[in-house]
Amino acid sequence: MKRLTLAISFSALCFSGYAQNNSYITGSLQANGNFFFAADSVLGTAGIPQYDYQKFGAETWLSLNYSHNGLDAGLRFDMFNNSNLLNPNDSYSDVGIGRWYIHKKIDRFDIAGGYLYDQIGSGIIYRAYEERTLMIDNALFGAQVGYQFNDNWKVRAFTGRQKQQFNRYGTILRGGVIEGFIKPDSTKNFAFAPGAGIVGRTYTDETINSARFEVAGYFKDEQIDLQYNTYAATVFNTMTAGDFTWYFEAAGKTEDVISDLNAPRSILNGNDIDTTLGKLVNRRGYTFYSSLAYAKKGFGISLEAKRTKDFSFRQDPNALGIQGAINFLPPMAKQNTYRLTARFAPATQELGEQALQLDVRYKFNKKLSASINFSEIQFLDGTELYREVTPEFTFKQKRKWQFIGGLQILKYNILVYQFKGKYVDALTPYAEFLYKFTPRRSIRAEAQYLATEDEFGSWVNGSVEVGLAPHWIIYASDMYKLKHGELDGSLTPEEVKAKTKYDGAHFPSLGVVYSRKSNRVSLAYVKQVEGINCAGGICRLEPAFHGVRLTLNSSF
Amino acid sequence: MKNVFLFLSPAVLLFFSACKEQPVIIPDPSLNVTGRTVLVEEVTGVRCANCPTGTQTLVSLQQQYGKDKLVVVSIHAATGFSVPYAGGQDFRSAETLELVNYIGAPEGFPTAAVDRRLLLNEQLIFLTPHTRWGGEVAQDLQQDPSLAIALENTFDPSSRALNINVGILPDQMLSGEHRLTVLITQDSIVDPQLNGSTLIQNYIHRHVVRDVVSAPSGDPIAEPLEAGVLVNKTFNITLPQAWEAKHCSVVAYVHRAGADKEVIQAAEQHVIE
Repeated sequence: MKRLTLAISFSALCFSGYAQNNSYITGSLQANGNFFFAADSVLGTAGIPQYDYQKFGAETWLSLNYSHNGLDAGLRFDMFNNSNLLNPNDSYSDVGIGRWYIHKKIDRFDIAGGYLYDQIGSGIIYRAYEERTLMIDNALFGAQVGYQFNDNWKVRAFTGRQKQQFNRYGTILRGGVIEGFIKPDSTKNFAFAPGAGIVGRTYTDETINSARFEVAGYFKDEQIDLQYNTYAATVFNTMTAGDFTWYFEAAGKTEDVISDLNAPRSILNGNDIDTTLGKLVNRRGYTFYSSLAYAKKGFGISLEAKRTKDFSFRQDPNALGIQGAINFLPPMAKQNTYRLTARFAPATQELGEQALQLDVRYKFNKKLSASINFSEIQFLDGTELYREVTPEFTFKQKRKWQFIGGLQILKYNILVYQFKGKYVDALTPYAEFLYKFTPRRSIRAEAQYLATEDEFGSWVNGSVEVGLAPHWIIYASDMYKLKHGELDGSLTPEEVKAKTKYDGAHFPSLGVVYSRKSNRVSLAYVKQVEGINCAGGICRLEPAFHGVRLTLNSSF
Repeated sequence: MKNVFLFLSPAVLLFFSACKEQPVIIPDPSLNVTGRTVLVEEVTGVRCANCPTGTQTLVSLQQQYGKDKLVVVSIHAATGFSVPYAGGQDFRSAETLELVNYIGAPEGFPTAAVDRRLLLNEQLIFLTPHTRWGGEVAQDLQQDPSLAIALENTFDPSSRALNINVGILPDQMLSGEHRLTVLITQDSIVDPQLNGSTLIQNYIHRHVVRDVVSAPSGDPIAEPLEAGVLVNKTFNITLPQAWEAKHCSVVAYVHRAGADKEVIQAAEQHVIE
């Protein structure tokens, strides 16, 4: 009821100012509707309520933003009805005000309250953001004050608690950041954008109580100290010098109670002492991240490097995956867009990871360009986690047609990322062809062939998309599981059954998209195999989908 | 720039001024243990690479606190991870799947419900990872039980008929709906299990739920639960030949019904003493 009263008051405030000068109301709507088909034990959808009996699930986000003479305010209505976004194996329903905020600039001061999105540097110590495909929305419910010293230097401080669906975590956060811009010579392209930030986190009594009773069960010599507060600090800088751009960030964290599932722990087994894996630890952590880019006409190169140790920074020592993250560690692999090249994606390992990524692009002439991407991710002890090499070329024939071809060479530690098997070694050639009949009519076709003996084996995927600008896109695709030849004789019949369960199976999609001004409606039949869903290095395993998806995106 | 640092210095000093931490006392969990018996319902699977670590943790906890204080049941209902290996036994059943679904869909394995308590800021009753189970078990052991459960089993080895008598004795008036769940577990079953990337053919499975004798969501207790008034329930089952009776136990627990499914007391008794 409180929420509703607040919403009505807020709407009244918004609309009362609508008629005045310099007032703007903007908004957006995103609505998804999923119609689930019958449960299928082979697909793995049996036992999931949406498939078994609910048959329909939906999500809606409706935002309204108001601006008037330096005052900004906003409200978002969120609704989840039998949604599978929070837990892909379960159903989640709730409705309410997902976000509200008020922000005002007063002279050099900047004040804001409500649910606030923000980040410090690249997000390594603090990032409050929204990623709807993974149901991440960790806005800070609190207050923020900023002050602008001059045109180049500003500071802001904040405190609050992070959002958890329609509730809030108990953990208290506070922090501050200073950001600047230095250009020694206004005539030259040479500048620095330095910054520094700090965030403090206080665990709740419940968290510490649970941790101290957990630790109490450890052998005396393996027990750890606990503390309520942990601080993370970072310094960062972007240097621009001619055609070079260099970003560097170094972050450190004071002692923090975290769960390390690979840490050895002694336990009693009868009269013997055994070792098992997994316990709470209290460690300091750090992350270094740097990217160096050079771009000159027709040529571009970027090199990224990252090293992370014990940099889990969460609401609770035992929070995993998408739950309770306060920070964001930049991903170090290529953001693949094709269905099969994106099939094996690496989740960021926050307790220990070292990674390099190199991307080189060269334009030979107006028609031909080429690129190569190399990513290498390892545990700190050198254990291989992910390696990808992707050479690609693009050939453009004026504005008539375009062809993209490439090859992904992949090594993927599926035991670490998906808790099954060992490694996946895969070769995936891919191609895309775009042909424009007229400026408004085009056809785009793409195909990939994922060749591997690992996991379920090899796949092919093809897709055709017809564009009838400005309103219509019609597409059809099919992902097909190639049948195995002769299998390794050491496999048991059950292992053979598990490995070949998708053999000969088709996973088609057929859809239509209609756009008009800033509105977009799409309707698609989708049959999609289980896999890993990632956004920015944050990943989770998701079961197969079989049904019809209706989505509406609108902005005003 | 000078002004910037002058402005920031007090703020930074203020931020760090409260940095000195008070030490957190680690308790002795064996103190203040009450008559409460804690129930852990673990969801596991023979193809779940990390599940043996979860079981190892629970076995160790049971040894630490005693089997009379901690009852562990292992439910093989991990979606996609419980399909048996060739020649292996199928520990799955419709009843155990219904039992898990009643508690709530798990996300990630191994996972476990500790007295089916929904913790603050948690969406699910099932808790992952296993590094949080010990803390929750220890805390529950400090809680006063509001009732006692007595189990009496009568087993006829020739017919394999098992008569189970459950006595429920509240020590205070309990309002609201309460249910009784009764199930059979079998310990020490030798059968394949994946451990990391290694398939162990002769793995010893612990506390495997064989059957749910009551309704998987529990049988409603119709009688009023009043202080000092004994409520008796009787169940009969014939154990299949494949279940080794000497390793079988009866587990009974009383829990709330509705949104709050918390288990308030549990008991375990071997079929053959």
